[in-house]
Amino acid sequence: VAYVLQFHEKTVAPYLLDLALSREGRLALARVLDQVRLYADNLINDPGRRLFPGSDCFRVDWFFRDPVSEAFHHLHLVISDAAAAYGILRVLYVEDETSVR
Amino acid sequence: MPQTLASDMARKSLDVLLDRVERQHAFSAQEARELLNGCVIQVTVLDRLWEQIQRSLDRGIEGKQLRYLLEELVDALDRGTKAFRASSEKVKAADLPSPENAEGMSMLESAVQRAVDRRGALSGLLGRLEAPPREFDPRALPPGRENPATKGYIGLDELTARLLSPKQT
Repeated sequence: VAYVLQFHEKTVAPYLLDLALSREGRLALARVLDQVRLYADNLINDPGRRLFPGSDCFRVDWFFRDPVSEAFHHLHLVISDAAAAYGILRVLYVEDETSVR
Repeated sequence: MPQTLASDMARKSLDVLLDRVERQHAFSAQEARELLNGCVIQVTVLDRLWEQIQRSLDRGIEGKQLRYLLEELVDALDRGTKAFRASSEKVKAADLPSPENAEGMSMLESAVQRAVDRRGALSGLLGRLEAPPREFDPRALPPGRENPATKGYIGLDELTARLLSPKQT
């Protein structure tokens, strides 16, 4: 299923926009977010990711590296598929753990 | 998850090397040369597996997939370390001319060191992946998320455009 990925305007989007990334790192982040969208079916169908049984929300962890700073970024996302019937997945929460090489 | 082809090949060929080294008590000069050639091939295989992980990190990779790749690489590095150390003992005892022996020993020491260093570098990342997920209070999440018309969200295209806008960078 081709989903549209949406980001909470007040919490998630500003957080991602404020990450300390080079331009290449931002490109990497954009690629990662697109991968999340493309990989969504697998994520939705993994019951181990749900916040609790029956929850509309699931956890996703994604790793990438900023090619310029070489810092590792570990993105923790919480995504809701409550509107999946309309082809919409919503990223409700994000946190990044950065570790420098 | 099934093993990746590359790591499965690495594991099997490392087992062949280790089995040969452990089964045979003494190596002639010619056999020691063959052993060293085998180790060079294994070093290359481990280098390729390492590069595969590096490329995955550069592209971005989902956590469970990364954990799986890391576990496989750590396993291959451990087998490599064991095989190179055992080979080192055999080469040391073999009747190779001194410079050739020294060169072989140096190559094996360097292979062991690289495998140990890489394992150390991966352990931290693996430890983080093995940690239980952090506690999260679902009540803190925004309501109305089941309604497609709910306001307050932006799409991936808009977010990407903002990420890559000159103002942002």
